[in-house]
Amino acid sequence: MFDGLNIASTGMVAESFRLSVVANNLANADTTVTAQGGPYRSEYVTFKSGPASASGPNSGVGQGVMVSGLYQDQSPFKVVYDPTNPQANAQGNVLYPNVNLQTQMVDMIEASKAYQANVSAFNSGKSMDLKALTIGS
Amino acid sequence: MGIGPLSNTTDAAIVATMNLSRKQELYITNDMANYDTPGFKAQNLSFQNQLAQALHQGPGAALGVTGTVATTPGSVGNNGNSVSMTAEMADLARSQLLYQTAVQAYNQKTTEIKIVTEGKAQ
Repeated sequence: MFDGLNIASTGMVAESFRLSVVANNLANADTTVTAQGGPYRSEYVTFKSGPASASGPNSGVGQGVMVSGLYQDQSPFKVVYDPTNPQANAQGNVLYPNVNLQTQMVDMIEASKAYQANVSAFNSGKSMDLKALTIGS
Repeated sequence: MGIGPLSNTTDAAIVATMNLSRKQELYITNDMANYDTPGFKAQNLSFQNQLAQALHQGPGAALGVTGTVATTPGSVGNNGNSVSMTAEMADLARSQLLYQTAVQAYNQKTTEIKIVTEGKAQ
């Protein structure tokens, strides 16, 4: 019955998950030691669309979006020459996370805009539902 | 021709518009939710031309209109996704207004029936 609202909320959930991943990347932009050893690796999410419902009045309409995976960026770490750092290796280099600030900022803005778009879609569906309650009055 | 709903062309047009504009809104919402899904192609439902033609064939034909789903080819970004937020927002506003207009028209019809049956204006 509230298909429109459900679809819009899948979008909000997915985009806010993406935003938390960006926030975690930014928070760990300088983390040189992790539980897995080595510096922090930047993470990213991938989305996939939900399957279209096969029956019912809204058959054929896709059922929103879902997070299909959380992956680590395998690009090389930043190397900074800093021999006085206790974490420097034999060559005097320290490995820093491969978090790219520009990419993260763009991702953050995009996730936030996409989230807002889903909120608009949600509100629009809601106002149509409310209008439906006035049918016959 | 009776006065019951769906037995005349006007009511059929109103009800078909309510159902289909609602479904149209679902397609738009789904496009927006998939704004970042790689390879996703935007879909939109159009029905007004079909409905206009079906109205010439009577209420039954009008209620049978299902509309056509068109898929937007190409892509806006480099991930094969063809959802354009501007187009979606415009379509969203349009289908919302269409739905509200249909509900308004339906209510107007009900008021007319009430005036006739109760003999006074509401």
